[in-house]
Amino acid sequence: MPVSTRDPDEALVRAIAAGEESALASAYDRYGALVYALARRFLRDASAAEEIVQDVFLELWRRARLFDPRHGTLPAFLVTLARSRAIDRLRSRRPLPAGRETSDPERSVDEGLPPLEFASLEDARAEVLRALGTLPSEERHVVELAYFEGLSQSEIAERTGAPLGTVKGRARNALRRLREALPKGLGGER
Amino acid sequence: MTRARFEDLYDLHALGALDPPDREAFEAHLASGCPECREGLARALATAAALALAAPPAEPPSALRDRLLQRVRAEGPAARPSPGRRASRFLPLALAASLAALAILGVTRLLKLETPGSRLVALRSDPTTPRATIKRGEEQVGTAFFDREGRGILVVAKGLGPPEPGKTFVLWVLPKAGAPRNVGAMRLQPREEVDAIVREPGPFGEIAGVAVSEEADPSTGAPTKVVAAGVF
Repeated sequence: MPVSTRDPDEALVRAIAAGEESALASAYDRYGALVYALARRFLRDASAAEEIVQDVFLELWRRARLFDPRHGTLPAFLVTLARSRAIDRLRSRRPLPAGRETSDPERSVDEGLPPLEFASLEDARAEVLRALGTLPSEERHVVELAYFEGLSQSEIAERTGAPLGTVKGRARNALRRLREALPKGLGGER
Repeated sequence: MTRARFEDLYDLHALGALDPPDREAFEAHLASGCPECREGLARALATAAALALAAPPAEPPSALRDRLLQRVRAEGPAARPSPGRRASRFLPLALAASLAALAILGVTRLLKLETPGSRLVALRSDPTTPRATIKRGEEQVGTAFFDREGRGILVVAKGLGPPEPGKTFVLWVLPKAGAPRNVGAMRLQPREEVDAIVREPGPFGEIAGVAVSEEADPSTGAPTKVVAAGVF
């Protein structure tokens, strides 16, 4: 059965599970740019980002028939996998305290992956940037160092010269502000 | 650590920024089933996930799409590795070797760095984890999670209650072909934690499910009285 570009993600995943290449191509057309942009932001290296994109979509191809939509949305699955792969790679580039390599926070809650859902990538991106814009610059900096650079709280404290308690407070305030500013499908309460 | 202490960690954990001692303590606490902390963390994770969209837009080169689809075609549905079984005979030697290295890395990580509790937390949150609801009659008394990376099955039994006096609950793996395999006595946990781990259960595609029986002799070769079962 041919896959329409308007099919919902669940139908796409089912078709991928059935071995339809065209469905994987549609998933790529829908989310490839998102995964690529994320991997590039993490690794700052176009060819490494391309490898992550390939890995992530091949993993979707292999695991689609195990995908249970009750436990997560397709973009959340792709983004989570991309971030986890990219952070593994980032960390392999620099020396680390023991035990850091398994940090995989999106996998730490049993209610499934975060409910990331949006109709248009451009609109969703604009919402997130607008929400980030409501943060004081020191809070935004903590969020960026943690989420995109993969730094731990003590590494952030060292990098910014702020005490550990201040780093924790900034992270907490930042997420609270984001929650207030973001709509529901993007992890907010608005 | 008290729950109030953990409340301060939701946001840092969601951002992936907890230092190892805090992270381990928090994950162990989560695996023990604290509903408030799970909800708090889920909320923080949902917000943190949206940050993915803050990456500056970048269009992947069009050749990437072609390369990806070529690889998909080369792998093909028939040669797609089933979970737990890598189709190494379909793969060139170098690729097979790197997959083997990955598998070893995965297992080492699991053994060295993860407690069953935090592994359980990870398996539960992955929409591709094969899981079996273990039922006694119509009542759910547990769940079995198939861990493809660790090649194991983690079993959590919440509602089995105590076995009859003098008897023990024994866990069985049910192969698609052949007789049930005794994988040992179950150690029931007072809280919702991992009750049994099946090491090297075999490829996922060849296992139909798990069963629990009540036995006077825990090393018996065939189940005497099956009390609950679930299929993947």
